[in-house]
Amino acid sequence: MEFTDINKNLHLGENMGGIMQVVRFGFWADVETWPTKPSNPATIEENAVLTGDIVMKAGKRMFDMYITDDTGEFQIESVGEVDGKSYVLHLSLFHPGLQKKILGFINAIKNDNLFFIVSDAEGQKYLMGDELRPAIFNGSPEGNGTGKATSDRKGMSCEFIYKTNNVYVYDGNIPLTEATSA
Amino acid sequence: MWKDYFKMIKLVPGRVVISGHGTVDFSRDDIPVALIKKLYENDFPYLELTPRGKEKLYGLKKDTPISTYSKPPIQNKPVQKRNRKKRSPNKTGKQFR
Repeated sequence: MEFTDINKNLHLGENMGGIMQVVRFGFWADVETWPTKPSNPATIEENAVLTGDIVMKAGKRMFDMYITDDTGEFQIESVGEVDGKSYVLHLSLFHPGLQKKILGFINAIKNDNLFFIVSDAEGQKYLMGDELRPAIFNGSPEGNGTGKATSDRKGMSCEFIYKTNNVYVYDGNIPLTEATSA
Repeated sequence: MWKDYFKMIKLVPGRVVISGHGTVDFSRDDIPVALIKKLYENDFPYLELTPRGKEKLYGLKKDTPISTYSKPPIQNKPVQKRNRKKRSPNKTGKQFR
């Protein structure tokens, strides 16, 4: 792998914080094939990019989830002892309201295995989940419910975590429609 | 209409988020053919060229296979018959030198 200078390199000066108002998710068990991790990267940039698409099993699909603006965050936490470093990726978000759809979602996924695709403000995508480990629900850091005052925020906050050896960018497509067998 | 020239494969026609192009809804009929052609040529994995697309967009005959390189035509050499005698197997099945 060829190492190079790492300069400022902000494309067109873009470096806004936060994530898009939509995250994409699916069930880990519904994935047919995962994008591949770099195995013999030529450059340090290639060492951060997955190759290929997530392909869902026939009849399965990925889904959109709306989040309130400025409530979504993707965090990369470094964990582990010396010689045993790895990462925990965190996705936290807030979905407004207590509609049946979001309640049913939380009921269904709270103990299930998922994957997420998160896009930052420049459109760079991060995949939370791989063939070995899923993303899982880690609770509600900002609480769920109606709030107390009429001016409080009502809705569901969620955090999902994914443990990984390395952090990768996902450059593949995101089909939001059912996969077919052919 | 783009569906005359291309067919969606591996997915039920619907929305796909494509890097550099945003969300494209393949259930719609009014997607510009130029966009679909560009996706196909950039190895978008969910499009297949129809026989009509082959002919109209690439000037190929309907039965011409699309490939990234042109294979040289296979030339069938005439089979030369040699005047060999067939060996008759021995009855025991053993081989003798």
